[in-house]
Parts: sequence; C-alpha cells; structure tokens
Amino acid sequence: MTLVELNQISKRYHGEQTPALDQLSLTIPSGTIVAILGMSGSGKTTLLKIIAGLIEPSAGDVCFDGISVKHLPTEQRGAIMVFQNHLLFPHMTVEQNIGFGLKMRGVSRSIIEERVATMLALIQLPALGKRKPAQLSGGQQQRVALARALIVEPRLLLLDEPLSNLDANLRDEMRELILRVQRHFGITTLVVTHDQQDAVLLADHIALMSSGRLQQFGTPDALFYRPADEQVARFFGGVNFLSGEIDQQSIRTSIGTFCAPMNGASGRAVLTIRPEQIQFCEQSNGTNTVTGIVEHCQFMGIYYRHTVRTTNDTRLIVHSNTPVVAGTTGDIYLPPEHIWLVRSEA
Amino acid sequence: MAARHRSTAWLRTLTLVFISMVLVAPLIAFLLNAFARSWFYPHLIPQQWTLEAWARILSPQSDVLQAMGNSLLIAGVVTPTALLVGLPAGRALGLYTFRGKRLVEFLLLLPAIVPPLAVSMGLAVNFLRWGLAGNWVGVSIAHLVPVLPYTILIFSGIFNQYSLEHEQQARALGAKSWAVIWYVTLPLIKPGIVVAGLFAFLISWSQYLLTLLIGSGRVITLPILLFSSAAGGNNLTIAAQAILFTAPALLLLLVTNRLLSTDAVSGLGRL
Repeated sequence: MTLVELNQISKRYHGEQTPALDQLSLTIPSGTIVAILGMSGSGKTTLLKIIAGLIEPSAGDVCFDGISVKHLPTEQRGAIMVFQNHLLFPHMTVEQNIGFGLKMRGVSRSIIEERVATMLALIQLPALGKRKPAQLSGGQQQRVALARALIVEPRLLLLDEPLSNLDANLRDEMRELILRVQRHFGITTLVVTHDQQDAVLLADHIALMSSGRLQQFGTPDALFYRPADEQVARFFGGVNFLSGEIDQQSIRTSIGTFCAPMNGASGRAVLTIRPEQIQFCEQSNGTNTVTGIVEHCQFMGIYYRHTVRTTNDTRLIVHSNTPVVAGTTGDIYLPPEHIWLVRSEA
Repeated sequence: MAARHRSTAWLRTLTLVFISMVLVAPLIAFLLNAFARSWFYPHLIPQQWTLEAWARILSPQSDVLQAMGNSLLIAGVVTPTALLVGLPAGRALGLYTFRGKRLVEFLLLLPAIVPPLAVSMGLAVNFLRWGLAGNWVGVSIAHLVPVLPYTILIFSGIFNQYSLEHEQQARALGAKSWAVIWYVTLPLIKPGIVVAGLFAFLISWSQYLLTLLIGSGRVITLPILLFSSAAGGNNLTIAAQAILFTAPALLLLLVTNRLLSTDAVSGLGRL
C-alpha cells in the first residue's frame, strides 16, 4: 500500500525540442490501479520509468508515502516495472525466473520453492515451472513476468503495456489476472496503455496524457461522460461537437439552441454528447430537438450507427438499438442531462 | 527448373569434395605418416607400421611433452586474460557511442593489419629492455597482442545486439552489481565467451613468430618444436608432432561446437 505523488515532473531528452514530460503532477491513491493512457509519444512510458527510477527527471520530485525517492536507485525504491517485452531471463527456467527476486534477497531455498509454487498456482501455470521462457506462449511469458515481479511484494507495481502483445481472448484473461492479483495483494498499480478500453476496464482512475502533459485525471466514467476538453472526449470515442455561444441556461449553436447544465461555462463553449445518448423521437415537444435526415445507417454488431444531417450540413452521429433506414426525415432529441459543455479551443 | 536444381546439387557435391580434399586429406596423410616405417610409391598405404615416434614422444626425456606443457600453460594464461580484458572493452565498444570510438576500433585492428614481423620485432626490442624476453610470462603478454583484437571485436559484436533491459530488470528485482553480472550478463553472453575463448586459445596455441622472438629460443612451445622438426626432415616425427599440434584444437572445436548457438556466430559477422 503506497501513496505515490508526482510533483511538477519534467523530462527533456538531450537534443529534443519539446519536453517528453512537462510539469506533470499526479497523486495516485494507495492500493488503487491507475491507468496512464495516451497515444505513443505522449510520454507515458517515460513517466513510468521515472517512477521506477530507471530514468532521472530533469525537474520535479517523486514521493512514495510522502517521502521523496528521487535520489534512491531503482533497487531501493521497491517499485518493480514489468516491461512490455516481459524480459524473462532466457537461460533460467520459469521457476528460477519467478524465484529470482527472493534468491537475490537471500531467502532460503525451501521457502523460495514454496512461494514460487504459490505464485505458479496464482498465475494458473502450475505445471510449467521447469520450462524455459522460450517454450511458453506470449501470454504465458507475460504472466510469468508478472509473478516474478509480485513475488518480492513490491510497494508499487508498474506495468508497461501488459496487454498489447496479446490477442483478444488472452487480453481478457490477462486483464482478469491483473485485477485478481491486484485485489489479492492490494498493491498500488500503474498500468501504461494506449488502449482506452483496457484503461476503462482495468483502472480505478485514469490519467490521460497528451504531449507530456496530464490532460485529465479521474474515474473512467468521469473521463467518459465528463471530459475536460474536446481532445479527451475524442479519445474516448466522442464524435459530436457543436461550438456555440452561452446564453443564460442554454447554448446557441448553428443548428439550434439547447438547454444544458452550465457547470460554470460562459462565453464560447463546445457542446458534446455521446452518440448513444441522442434519441430518435416520434413527436417532438420542441426543446432540445433538431430535425434531420438519416444519411447512412450501419450495423455495428450490438447497435446501429446513424449519420444524421441537420441544418447547415452539420452532421450528428446517433446510435440506437433499432435501425432507422437512410432517407428518413425526423426529429432527434438531445437530453439536457446528457449534454456536456467543454471550453472552446479556438 | 529441375535441370537447374540438378546442376546446383552437382555443384554442391563438387564443393564438398573439394573442401574435404583440401582440409581432410592432409590430415589423413599425417595420420598414416605418423605410424609409417616405410611408405613408398606406388603404395596407397604404408607397407610397414611402427609406434616408434609415439614411444619417443611419450618417453621421459621427450621434449615434445614439455613443449606441449609450455603451449598449454601459455594458452591457458592468455585465454582467461584475453576474456577478462576483452569483455569489458567489447562491452564498451558495442553498447556505447563515445568520442573517438572509430579511432579505438582502428587501433585495435592494427596488430592484425601491420605485418607480424614488424610487430614482433618492435615488441622484442622493448621486452628485452624490460626483462620480459626469454620467459613464458613475456611470451604470454606478447601473445595478447594478436589475440586481444579478436576477443574485443567478438565481444563488441555480441554487445552490439545486447539490450541492457535484462540487467535493469534484475537490478529492479534486487540484484546487486556482482549478482547482475553473474546471474544475468554472463549467462546471456555465454556463446560469445565460448567463441572468444576459442579464438584466444587457438591464436595463442598456433603462435610461432612471437614465441620465437620474445622467447629468445628459451621458451619452447609446440609450434617452435614443429618448425625445427620440419626442417629436420624426419616424416615420422613431423607427422606425429603435427597430430599432437592439431588434436587439441580439433577437440576444443568439437566440445565448444555443442555450446554454440546462432547468436554467437552473428557476433563473428563483424570480423
């Protein structure tokens, strides 16, 4: 159980114009899983390596439980990073790999054997202890790497893209495993990922990063439904954006005026609403309703995705459980409670 | 298509025959000669056999056994020394870029480019002055001159494709510096160690000119003995000594061949 605080962390690589990390501050609550989400090049792996002590920050401080660990070498921090390419020692068996950390701590052989067996059971590979890493599948190697890190009971577990090398069903299994062991040990865990779905399914909190800055930190549903800005909304699948002018309790856009919760917005703002929250309506009562023509209807597996052209050729994406054939003219309703206003970027 | 396939197969056979003629046939000739009392044209194999040469070699007054001991001692000192120096040097060259790296690489290759006689003469003059001439210590140090470029280049090739991340991971799991080297680095580069060690041993083992000049005729190794026997012209002695000279090398190759993987060979590509 470790509370991790990052204080104004900056990192500038030698000879690079833009900093990899730019005055990033973040508090990771003890015992939680936090996903660091971002596109490649957003600085998320750099951040993880700084926490692990593998890279030194150019400025800023890293604290575990309120005590700075900035000058502690990686082996004294108790933060263990599991790399994307798992880095199992190829010349050791699975058992030797998992037991490595205990052996380095001078733990007796019998205790190591016992703990390794427990770990193998936990990662559900009890029979593969005598194999070499090369004889395992990618998913199995990943699990061994996780067990090797967990056995030393680190204060902090750092996972670098733990799911990205795996195919769909293995991803689910690995995600389950990470959640299970995290609950079992209660270790504060940071997961770096570029996949918003992985982040949503794994994490208690998500830290969304973009070009070295923290864009938003919050629970998955907060980032999903209450994005800080248009960029965050787009990252989580937001597609409907209407810029407009705030006028008392409503926002005036090019296709009409909509009532919405203001949350202190004023002046220019951007209205956003998730496509599954917009409704086709039989008869309109006028408010928060626009008339449009369905241009395109596509079956997406669980829902139908409609492109609706409204006034001024403005298009909205609407998801619904039943199809509305292309060419239909009708009203769509934007429920005020599902509208979210973000500040205008322009 | 089929015709072409047949022609390449034929070519392959021809190449194999040629290689075995060049490499294996002389060895067979030596083997036969080492046991032949008389072997004259047009007989394909010797008419009379003898163990005379071997009896002489194994006799207590034998100079061959002593020379072999010297060769083993010198190669046995040179090999670990070359590994000990070559590994960190090759690691630095393979892993890091630094100012003057190309120059260092060039200087390392120099002993292999400059004519051996020139190198040996220069060494001999200085070793005489330092009192290192005429004993096995001086000869061992001299052997390092042609040996080190090879070991360093082999290790730099190995470390060129080496990632530091395994070491970082080991350190993160609590391994101290010596433990990282012992449990992670050394096992990971084992093929490179085997190849570099093999090269170091064989180069030292077959060194003639340096041994002759630095040893001042007082350090008698197998090649020195072999050359003087060759001048003597006794086929029986020459053949027996040549076999003794070749055997350890072949044996070593066979043993290490089992330890080698493709990783090690890729390091050789840089030579």
